Order: sequence, then structure tokens, then C-alpha cells
Amino acid sequence: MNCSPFDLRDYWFEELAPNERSQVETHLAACTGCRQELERLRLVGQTMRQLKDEEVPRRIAFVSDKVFEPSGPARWLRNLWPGAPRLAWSAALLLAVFFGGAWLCEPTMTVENGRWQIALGGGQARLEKALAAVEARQAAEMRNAEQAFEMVMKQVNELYKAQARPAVFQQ
Amino acid sequence: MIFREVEDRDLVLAARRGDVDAYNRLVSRWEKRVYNYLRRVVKDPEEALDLSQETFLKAYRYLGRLEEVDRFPQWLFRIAHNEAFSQLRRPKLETEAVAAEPTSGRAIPVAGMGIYPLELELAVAGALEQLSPEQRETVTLKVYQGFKFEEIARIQSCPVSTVKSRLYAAFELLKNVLAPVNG
Repeated sequence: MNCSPFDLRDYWFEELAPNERSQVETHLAACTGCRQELERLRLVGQTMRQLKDEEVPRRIAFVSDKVFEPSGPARWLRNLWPGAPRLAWSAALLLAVFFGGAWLCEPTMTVENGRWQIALGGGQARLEKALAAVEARQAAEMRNAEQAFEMVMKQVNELYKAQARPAVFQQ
Repeated sequence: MIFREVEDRDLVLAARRGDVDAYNRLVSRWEKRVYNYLRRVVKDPEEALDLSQETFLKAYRYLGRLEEVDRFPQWLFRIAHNEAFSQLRRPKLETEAVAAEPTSGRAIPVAGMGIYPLELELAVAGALEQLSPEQRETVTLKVYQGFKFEEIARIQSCPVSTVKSRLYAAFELLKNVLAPVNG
């Protein structure tokens, strides 16, 4: 036991505040018992410190060594994150696919009997309409071509008939 | 010491940005201290080496989770502490258990005067072995690693009062065990 104002062990381990340390030092100057106790602590500490640190027997692997390689998903994430331009392009592509798909599908929203219904396929109807128009135009052009052909054939026929009449009729 | 802390901080920040060399420098800087801490806690040099490797590996993986960059040493030793005590909690093989027979209460057979440094080292190593793992760890963190009580409390995840009681009990034991050495 000691009669120091603060624990001598705290003093020796340098855990006291400066003003507490100075109080202990004032006490030590006048107390032989506490000085002896402190000397015993110092001796044990000094002996303990004779045990030197050992060198590491083998080098601890560095980050660049294989042992530090992260797992598959972690590596993928780590590679993805620093590539900001790559990330931006990927995001732009995803947006383009999304909006392109939305434009083609033309989702329509209706409320029937108080229930919301989302239907895709407006784009399909428009596509069918456009196809029908093209087909109708092609059919009309075909009809015109047939009529023109028939007219030409009729004229050729008339010419042939006129040339085939006997000479007496021609006079 | 202040310079060192500043440099550690810079290296941690650089390593967090993906600078591999910065982390390699941190490993070089801390491997000896971490290895010796683990060597004294788990005692077996091979185990200490494996645990050191595991400590640095985990520190690298979780570096992003380190909230206070200035507290890298305490954080690193906290990881090492977890590794060491997970290892100590694992059941040992029978042969290892025999080899690790406790020597509690046994005096260190050394002469008091004119002792050689190697004998003194052996005496201290023997005295440390007589402590419980928690006491041995506390002595190691205080005497050999120079951490403050509050830092040790964070590493061991316990109150400062527990740190103090472990350390003072260990010192009482060491004082008795090393009495023949100290004369």
C-alpha cells in the first residue's frame, strides 16, 4: 500500500494529468515508502522491457500478392466503381433501352371499375396500321399498273386488227 | 510520433482510394509490432504469423469502415485482438494441450545477480506465460506497445477499470515471479 494522493501505478504508467503528476512528485519527495514502491514498479517494468521484439519470420504478404485478391463479386464492384465514364455510358445505354422500349410499347393506362390497368402494345397497333397503309398503297399501285397494261394491250390489239383487214376494204 | 501519425493517416487515405503501394507501406510499418503482439498473446510463432497475415488481410478489406482515420493503430490492434482471441477460444488438439500445460505459480529458475540478457529474456517470457491471456494481452499492449488505458479499453472492448485491474493484477504476479531476477 502507499499513501500517494494518486495511484502510483497510474503515475508510473504515465496515465495521470500534469497537475496530478506534480502532486505525486511533491509527495514522493517526502515519502520514503512510496519512493520504494515506485522503485519496485520501475524494476519490474525495466525487467519486462528486456524482452525484445522478434523479427517477423516471414514477410507478411502485400496487397499486390495473391492472398490479398478480393473475391469475385468484390473485384467486379471494385473494378466497376472507379470507371466513372464506363458507368456513365452504361447508365445512358440502360436509359436508351428503357425509353426506346417504352416508345415502342406505348404503355397505356386505363381505369376500369376503379382498377388501374396498364396495357402495352400501342406500338403494335400503330405498326399494324402503318403496314396496312403500305399494303393498300401497294395494292392501288398494282391496280393502276394492271389498268395501264390492259389499255396498252387493247391498243396493240386494235392496231393488229387494222393491219390484218383485206386490201379491198382499205381502198 | 506526430509525424508518424500524420503519415499513417495519409497512407490510410491513399489506400482507401485504391493505392496498393500505400497499403503495402502500412503493412511494412506495422507488421513487426502486430506480429510481436500476437506472438506474446497466442505464444506460438507460426500461429502468430498466420494471425498477423489474417489481421492485415481483414484490415485491407474493411479499411473503408474505419471511421476515425487517425485511430488506425488502435483499429488494427482491435482486429488483431479479435483474431487472437478467436484462435484462443478454438479447442486445441490433445498434443498441443499437453505442450501448453499451465506453469502457474512456478518460480523462474534464474540466479539473482550477474544474469545474462538471454536468461533475462527467457525469465520474462516464462513470467508472461504464467498470466492469463487477457492479462498477458494487457501487459503487452501497455508495456510493449505503449497504448493508453483508454485505447486498450477500445481494443479489448471493455471498461478502463477492467484494463487497470488486469494490468495491476498481472504486475503483482510478475513482481513475485521475477523477484529472483530482480534480487
